[in-house]
Amino acid sequence: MNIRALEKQHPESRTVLRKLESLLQKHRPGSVITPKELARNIPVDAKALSDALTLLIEAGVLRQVYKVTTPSGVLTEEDYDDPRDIPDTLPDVWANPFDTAESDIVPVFKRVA
Amino acid sequence: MPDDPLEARVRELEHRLNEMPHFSVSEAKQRFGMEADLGQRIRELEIEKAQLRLDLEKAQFRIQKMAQAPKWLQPAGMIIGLLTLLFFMAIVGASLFGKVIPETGKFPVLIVLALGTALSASFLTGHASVTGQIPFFGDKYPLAVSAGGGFAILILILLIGWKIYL
Repeated sequence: MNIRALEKQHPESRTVLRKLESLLQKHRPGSVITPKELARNIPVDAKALSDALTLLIEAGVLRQVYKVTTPSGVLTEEDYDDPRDIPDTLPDVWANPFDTAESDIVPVFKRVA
Repeated sequence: MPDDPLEARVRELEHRLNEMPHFSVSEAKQRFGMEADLGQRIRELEIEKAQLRLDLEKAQFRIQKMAQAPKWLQPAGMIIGLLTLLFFMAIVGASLFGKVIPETGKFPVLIVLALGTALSASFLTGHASVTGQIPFFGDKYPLAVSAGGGFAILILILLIGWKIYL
């Protein structure tokens, strides 16, 4: 399903979907879009943005995966489809292992095709 | 002194960010299978947090930018000071050749001295306070120190000049 068809089905999300489409065009399939990048490029209400992302995920345009915030505040390299798959320890940016239990989980978005 | 609106905005954004719930990995692991819409809620929450962080960064950047002295401030102070000095050196030079300032020209000369000194001092003080070289008042209200200092020098020189020169 393409984004134009989604716009017709959900005219209330048309503006956000257009902005998301233009952001997605800058990304290759498989590359990651973070909430920070979304906030910077699509300055709309968080609920409206989240709803539009839901539409794209349900349509198979995007996939929501999860990363973990390392103790230094950056996101881990690895991402996981299900939070339950996140190991108890992960390497940080300097390859030092850290305990993931109390670390924040952050959803990121991958362009499927 | 009323609170700076930009600093108040930064505090408000920091407060809102601190008040927002955090989803830890252990919590997400426990709840993920039980709550069908958890992924959507985490998504909305993290987008809202990212927007707040972005607003916070912008507000902090504006505060930083306002605290920076304009680049022209110090050179302008130096140039005005130098021009004032050259003007008076020219008068001294002229007086060596027997040319004196007439009575009617004394007041404009005093004005040049007062304005030149006040502007030069104002720009240099402004630069010093903005860059944090004047402690206490300067680090909080640099432009007020700059304007107040310049005006005080202007009045002082006019009064002294009026008393001893005119």
